[in-house]
Amino acid sequence: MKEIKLTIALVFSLLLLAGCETLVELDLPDHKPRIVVNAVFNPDSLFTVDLSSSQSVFTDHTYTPITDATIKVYKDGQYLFAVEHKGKGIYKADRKPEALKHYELQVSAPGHASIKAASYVPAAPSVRDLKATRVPATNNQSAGIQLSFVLEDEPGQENYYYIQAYAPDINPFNNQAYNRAIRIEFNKPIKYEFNMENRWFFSDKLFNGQKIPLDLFLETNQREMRHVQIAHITKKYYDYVRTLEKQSYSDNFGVMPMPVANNIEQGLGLFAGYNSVTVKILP
Amino acid sequence: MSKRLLLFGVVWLFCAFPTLAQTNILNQKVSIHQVNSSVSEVLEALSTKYNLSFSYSEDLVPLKEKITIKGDGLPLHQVLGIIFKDTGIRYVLIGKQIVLQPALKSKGKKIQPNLSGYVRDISSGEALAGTTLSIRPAGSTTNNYGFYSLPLSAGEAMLEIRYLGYAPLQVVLPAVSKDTTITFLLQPTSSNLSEVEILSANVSDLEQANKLTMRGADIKQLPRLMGEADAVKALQLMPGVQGGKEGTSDLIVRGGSPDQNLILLDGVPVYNVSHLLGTFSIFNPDAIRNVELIKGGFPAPYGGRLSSVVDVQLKEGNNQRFAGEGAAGLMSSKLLLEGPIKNEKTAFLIAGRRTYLDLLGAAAAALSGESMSKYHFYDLNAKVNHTFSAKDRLYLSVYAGQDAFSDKQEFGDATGMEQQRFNMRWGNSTGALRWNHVFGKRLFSNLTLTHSRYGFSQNSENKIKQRDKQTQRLVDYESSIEDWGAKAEFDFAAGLRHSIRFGGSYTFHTFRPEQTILKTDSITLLSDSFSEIQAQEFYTYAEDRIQLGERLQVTTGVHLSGFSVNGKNFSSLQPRLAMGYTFPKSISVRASYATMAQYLHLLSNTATGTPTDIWAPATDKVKPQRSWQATLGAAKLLSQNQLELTSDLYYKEMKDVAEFRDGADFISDFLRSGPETDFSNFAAPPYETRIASGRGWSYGSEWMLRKRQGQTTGWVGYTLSWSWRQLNGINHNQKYPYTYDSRHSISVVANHQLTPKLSLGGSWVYRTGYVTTLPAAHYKAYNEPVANPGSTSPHVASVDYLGERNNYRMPGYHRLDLSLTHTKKKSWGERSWNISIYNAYNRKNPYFMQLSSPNLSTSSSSTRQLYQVSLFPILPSFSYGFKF
Repeated sequence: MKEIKLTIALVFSLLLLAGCETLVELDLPDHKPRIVVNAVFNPDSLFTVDLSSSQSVFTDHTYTPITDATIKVYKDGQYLFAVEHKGKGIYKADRKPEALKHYELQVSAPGHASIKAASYVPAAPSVRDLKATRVPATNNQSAGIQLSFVLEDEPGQENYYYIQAYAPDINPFNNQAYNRAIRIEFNKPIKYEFNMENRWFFSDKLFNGQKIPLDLFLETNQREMRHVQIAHITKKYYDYVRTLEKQSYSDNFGVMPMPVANNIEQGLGLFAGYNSVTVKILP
Repeated sequence: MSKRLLLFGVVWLFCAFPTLAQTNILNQKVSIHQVNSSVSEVLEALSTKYNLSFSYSEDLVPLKEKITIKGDGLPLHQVLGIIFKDTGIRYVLIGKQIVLQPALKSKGKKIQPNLSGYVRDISSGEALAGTTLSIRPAGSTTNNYGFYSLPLSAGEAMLEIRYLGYAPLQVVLPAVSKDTTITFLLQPTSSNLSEVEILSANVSDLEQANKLTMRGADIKQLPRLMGEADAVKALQLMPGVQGGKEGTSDLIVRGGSPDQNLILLDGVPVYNVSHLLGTFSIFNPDAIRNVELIKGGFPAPYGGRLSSVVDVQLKEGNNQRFAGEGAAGLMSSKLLLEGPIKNEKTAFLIAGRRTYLDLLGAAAAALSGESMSKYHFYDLNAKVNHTFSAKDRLYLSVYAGQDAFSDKQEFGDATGMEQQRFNMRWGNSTGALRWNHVFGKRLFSNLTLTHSRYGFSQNSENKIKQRDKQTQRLVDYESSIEDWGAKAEFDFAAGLRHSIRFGGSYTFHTFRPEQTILKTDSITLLSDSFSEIQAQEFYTYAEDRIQLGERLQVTTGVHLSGFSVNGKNFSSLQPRLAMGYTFPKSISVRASYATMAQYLHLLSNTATGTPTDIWAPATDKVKPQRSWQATLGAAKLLSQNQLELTSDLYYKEMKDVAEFRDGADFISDFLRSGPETDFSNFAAPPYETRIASGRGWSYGSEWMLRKRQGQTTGWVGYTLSWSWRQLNGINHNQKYPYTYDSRHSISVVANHQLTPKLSLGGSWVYRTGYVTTLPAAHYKAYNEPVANPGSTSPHVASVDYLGERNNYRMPGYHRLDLSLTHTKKKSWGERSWNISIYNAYNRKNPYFMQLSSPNLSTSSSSTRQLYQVSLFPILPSFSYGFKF
């Protein structure tokens, strides 16, 4: 995507002729810390919860992990298991969530109000007719892979997705394995709605219940194994990332501050499930 | 005792002297010999021979009848008795004048004659709406079409006709026995240099309560932003009216939301009055005759919005001579032409305005070699009216205005080519066909067919051609509201102190919100957040205005409205009451109560004026907004009627007001992505799920001291106000100050005529800062950072938790604007230069507040900082105007 062009600035410069900033002194009341949950779960990974404390708006401390919390997980209303602390506020169970099951999380920690949250794991996305074609570089486009497939959207409900692509690699600085991000372009028919890090999000609002042929371009010129993850996510996950992305750009004039969606009762953060299929494209 | 005797003596003299005088003249012996002469010839002969003075109007008394009279040495009263026998003429002696009048029909029921007609400008023939016609102690005002109807009492009466900026007219009306039609022509005062008596409608009149009026000429005297005088910006300087965010065309009236104003252009509702995101309104100041803002105590004919009625009346067209005016400014030019067609029965007006930012952009593109986007807006007003008879007149009024933004880009080489096109257009069109008809002499009717449409459309096209393969992707996004309607209004003059208005209206709404069509080579996708909705709205009303005695005025009315959408029906019965009492020292006290209902919601999460503002109907999930408002006020004319002082207290309660939770964020997306903004992203769930509704209430006091005429004109206004909201799902359901809550507002506006050619104007405004929402805490975000060895890839690591809604009040806003206008007469007409300075002392006013992003990687001692972002610095501008 290209930068904002000078020409648009010309129009709006009339409104922003000397938009200038002045530092303002401000006193806000003390903040009482609340439990912050960051837990996104799927059937392919162990159940993991990241716990930390919220902090005053003017402080720049790194977030304090909560290490002494009690976490209980319930499935479809029945107590399932407790999640153990593994260090630095990360709690991990030895089980994986199941598709189409509803989970509830209850957390209590000294010095904080207890919280609870609920979500579920959606069905895996239905992907058919996969086809990958290598595309050589041209003067105005780098080399890559043309990936097409048909996404079968489940009718009668709102569905949300993200796609990300990566290639396993070795970090030359520490020789550690990692997944190197690959940029995706949506050729047709739909475009992504927004992206967060390497995840490219969209909803089915334009093709609800349809079998939609998607045509993507993966920007990669190396002969390597590529992974393309197509994830079916819950609405809570989508709303959280959508609003977080909007809040991160809230420095535009005239826009009301965007509250980030929060589905933690008495606390803050995100507790949401997703289910995905990962396509491997051979070199 | 002696004082009583003196008083008795004076009264006696006043009563007795005219009686004695009358006896003397009428007993005078006269001789007359006229054969087959008209009555007027006989009277002329008597007048010449005996130095008698007869006073009469040939319209009122017929004097052409032929008579024969012969007599010598007869008393005058006997001769007059013979002359007027069976002519239907009687006479009375007033002083030394013999005044002839139509004879009263003394037998049977007493008939009250009626005076009706129009009041017009003598030079242009423009109807003068709101002209005061008073026959003490009662009176009347002309309606929007300049029509008046004034029942007369028996006997002679003194009629005073007053209109701001025109020489007052005093007419002695002889006693009339039958209905009479007179068109009064008022002469504009030629210069502001002479201090003359206040000529406006009496501010103490009940009809003026809760109402602010400005003429087109008043608006053009005010300092200008970027060379453009603006009606909405002028209203923002009035007490009780806030201007929203700086530079916008929002009107926040008595704590109401920007969508709660019924804005009428020649009686037709307009849905988006902004150009260039509100920097200018759609009203061409040259074409404006009058702007009226009603803040409370709403007359029964008005409804459909909770907080105000803004009635913008355009000129009808000069029916006396061909005339024109225009101006050229930094950003735009405009031209208005008007004149009669063939004769004074038909007149036209055509006015146009266009910006030339696109031309400036094209020139810059040519110089720089860079491609440039194009932006412009235009307004076009066209009107024609024809007078068929004294009772029938037809008006046709059309408005069209549009903002347009376009961009085109091409990339590539011989191996491939990508072409992007982007077009965005938004604008209003309105039309009105009006027929004025007078039934008899007392019933004025106005039948109007109306059309109004606001539409926004965006389309982008992306073509990629590579070798033999071509792909194409088109996105069309549209939203619109379109109304067709008809209304009938009737004004009935029931008596000298009693008038009745009644009427009704029907509107057929078509809402087409948020339709997205996406086309590619192989597939077409269509998204309607909710499909086209058709709704019907009606209202009927009746209003009775009575003057009870010399001091008490009462207006009672009822407005019944209804709305039907998707099989769901809403209705509202709205009582209206206003009372005014004038104390002996000319202080008038008035009180009012009015309820209102609004069946439309505006979907916008920012100020209004953004192109993506979408109007949507109330549904069973989102109820209509309703309100009631009570006011108590006082008014007095001061300093020998040079100054008007008004004060009002108000309380307004609003139910089911709606706010967007986190709506379509057009501005940020557009600024970030520019022409590549993908409007398919704006397709969204049904709007009912995206808004929160609840209660709102506001109260306060407004003061205004205004001088309307003379060398120096202007006003000082002060408003003390509170405005609150309490919406379900917002701020934990607790009350919070409304976004535009401002405790104190002051405006000082003045225009001084330094010399006949040079005038200096200025306005200074101050208000307590608006409130905004600042984060109360921040916490760790869920993210999946992109691993990128060797560099730090940006990711959102932190979430700001927004605490209570509108928890921070921004610094106060104040600004001084100045203008200097030099006018010079030329052989062809008049030209003027205007130099304006906006924000003369370069005050950095808060536009919005912004917290710096947390930097979690720095030491723990560092803190985030709060910044205030300002918009307009000092902005000088100039414009050249002409008139002929």
